[in-house]
Amino acid sequence: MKGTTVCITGAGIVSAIGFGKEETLQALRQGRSGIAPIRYLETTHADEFPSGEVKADTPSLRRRLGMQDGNRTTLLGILAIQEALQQAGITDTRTVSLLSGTTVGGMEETEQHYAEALKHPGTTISIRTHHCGATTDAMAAFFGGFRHTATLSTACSSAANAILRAAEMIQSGRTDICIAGGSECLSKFHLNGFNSLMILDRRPCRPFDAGRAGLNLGEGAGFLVLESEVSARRRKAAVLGWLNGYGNACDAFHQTASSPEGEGAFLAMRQALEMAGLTPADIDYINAHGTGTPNNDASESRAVLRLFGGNYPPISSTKAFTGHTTSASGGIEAVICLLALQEQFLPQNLHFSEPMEGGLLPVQDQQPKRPVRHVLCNAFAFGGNDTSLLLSNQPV
Amino acid sequence: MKKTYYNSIDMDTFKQELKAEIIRVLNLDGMQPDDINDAEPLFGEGLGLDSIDALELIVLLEKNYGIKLEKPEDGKAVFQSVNVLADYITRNRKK
Amino acid sequence: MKQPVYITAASAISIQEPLSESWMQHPVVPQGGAAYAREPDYTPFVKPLEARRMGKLLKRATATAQTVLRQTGIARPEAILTGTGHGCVQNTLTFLNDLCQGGEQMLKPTCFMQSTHNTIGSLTGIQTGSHGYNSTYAHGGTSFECALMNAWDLLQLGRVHNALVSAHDELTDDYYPMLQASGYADGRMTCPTTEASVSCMLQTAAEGPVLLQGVDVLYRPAPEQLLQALDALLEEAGLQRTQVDALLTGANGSGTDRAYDPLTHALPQCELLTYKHLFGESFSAGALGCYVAQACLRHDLLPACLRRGGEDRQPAPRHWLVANCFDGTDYSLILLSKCCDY
Repeated sequence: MKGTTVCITGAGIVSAIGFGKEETLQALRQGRSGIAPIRYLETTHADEFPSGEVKADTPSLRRRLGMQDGNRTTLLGILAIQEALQQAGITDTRTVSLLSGTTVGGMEETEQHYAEALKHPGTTISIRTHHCGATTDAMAAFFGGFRHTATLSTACSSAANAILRAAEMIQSGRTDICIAGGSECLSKFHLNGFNSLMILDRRPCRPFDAGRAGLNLGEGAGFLVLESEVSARRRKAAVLGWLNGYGNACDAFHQTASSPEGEGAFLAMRQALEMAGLTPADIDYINAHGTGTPNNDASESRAVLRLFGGNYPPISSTKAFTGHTTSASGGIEAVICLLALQEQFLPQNLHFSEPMEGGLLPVQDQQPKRPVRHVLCNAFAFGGNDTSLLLSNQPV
Repeated sequence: MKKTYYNSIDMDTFKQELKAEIIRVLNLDGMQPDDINDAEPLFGEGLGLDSIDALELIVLLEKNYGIKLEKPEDGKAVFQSVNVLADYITRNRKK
Repeated sequence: MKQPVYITAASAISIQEPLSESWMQHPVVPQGGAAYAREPDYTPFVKPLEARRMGKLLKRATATAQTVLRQTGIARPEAILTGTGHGCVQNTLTFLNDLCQGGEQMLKPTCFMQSTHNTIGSLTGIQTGSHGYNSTYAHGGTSFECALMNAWDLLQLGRVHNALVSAHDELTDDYYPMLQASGYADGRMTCPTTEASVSCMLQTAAEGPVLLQGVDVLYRPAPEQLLQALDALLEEAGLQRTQVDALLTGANGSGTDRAYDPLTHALPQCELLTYKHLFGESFSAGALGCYVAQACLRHDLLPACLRRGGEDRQPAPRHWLVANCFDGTDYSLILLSKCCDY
């Protein structure tokens, strides 16, 4: 990559398949999905739409962190950030920047307060902890402070854009260390929103399958500690991987639908390769956005085939494990990619049985046929905010 | 109560009502029911509606007439034109 | 080596005359409480069929962006960066209210779609057919400044030559009491709670009277950290503290005004100016601060309305520091200068 080399010195994750990297890795290797009937969110759709909830209620998340309050998005974010900082050996965050991606923010708490206020006419709810920035700053406050905080909100590519932005900040010399990713909890608001778009599957989702019928929502958080190589060396921090390239492009097609040719996705992946100075043949694995909706998987398949041709690398969506964790997905899946690089395995694409017409054959066998050195992590969003990250176990 | 239309005058009145509803829920500012041709395609080249409008019309069908479409693709056949839609509603309405 | 960055055009919709700089000579004097923006005629910007899914925020975003694009002759910006504290509040509240009142069924997909913050920036992408970099910040009252910083870095890294940077926040009758209950519409404020839409074009391969010299956003800085950030900005611009001759702060009469004390003490020679008494407070107010400073530099005029009882000053001050503090938490610094060739 031209300019400053950006490496990864810490990673943290929480999702439906576990707290922390160790539990996540076990679930991935054992093929154990976290998708189940909804148990923690209060909704009339609990048994209708299987989802990937983090297996703990909000009070117990607070207890885990020794906190009195804090909404679910904030708490999940803190858990992942804590794990990432600990691994990176960072105790003082005052010179570090925090970039978090979210769209739901505090909505899950707000929708409860709003419903309560409706029962008592004349009362007004506070939105102090509701807006996206408030959740990021609440995470920052838990750790005692950061130099800079920012909240990226590009729907389902929010965390991926936070990670991308961290690399830009390091390369432009603004900061040496950035913790970036995203956090999102399940809310009635977006569960019903996705239902209004008629893209939720009533069965466990089947990404890239001919019979796919939509997505399952999930929740969680995933964060990476990104650092200039010079800083990591100076701190004698162990380097876990490199962010060798990234691309951000806009599909510029429709507010919710992806273009048939997957233009935004194609451009984002191509940019990431170009930045890293790699060719399509160098990519050993793609963690697809792969939501399981008819539209996304068709469009993404087309983009992959355009860029890689018929000889495309192993590709899978891990959303049948975690559910679609929306704004957090880019963070969660970047951590999964890092695990794949470190442990040399290919996360499998659960529930696949039949390829779609002109579609891709996703990973069924975890054992890679060649070393996993360079992987692409895709995160696409409503409005065509498409981002692709290129992670490696070596610099380029 | 299920309504059925036995003559074309009732059906024409219903189509006018339906067009007014389409204009309202899709927020087609400045349009009048008469601006929509009954036989003209609602989507694509005709009125120029898209997939999100189709979802809004699915909500309209359920709210006003108790008709529930399970898959967005089901809308394609139903929303061909005002004529097709009016006929479909008349035959399937639950309220 | 730092690339010079020019703000080549900017436009705003606020409680002042929309898409106009007439506020410099004929300002609207706002009252307190909630004050809504003055709407321009949207017919030159929005086709009727496109308008069907646009609330007022998306119409404003279209109008400010199109104005800037037409002024600069850039049809497809290479990067689109957007800041919004709350996004499309009207749609979000409609969906929330329908959900809580009517239950979890028959909800409007359009309202949900427009509740995502990136709907604004992606709409600009769709309208202009721009496949380039596109990102959105929803970081409270410094969302615009985060977007501006992102654009600055892209320009400095040489990844783009131009970037459209915007900020948009709207107010509704239902939202205002919630802002009050949250302390965001503070009773001590001497300016109204308002709404704002601002777009500006940043370019490297261009010229013009307005130079953007740098931007920084800080989380809960100690006074010395704030001054370190100021000095770093000045150093990068090759300026001394004593050369800054205007300090435009986001002071609004509330308790957070003390946040600006370290800056006023560090820059005692500066003409001390405010803008929120004319434009009000909102999560996008910081964008209006930048807009006001660039307008003064472009017209080489410091209008009396900014000087609280003073008279018009011409020429305008040459080096401006625009400072905004959101809720005592997030601070922003923007440094602007008049390009010496103009």
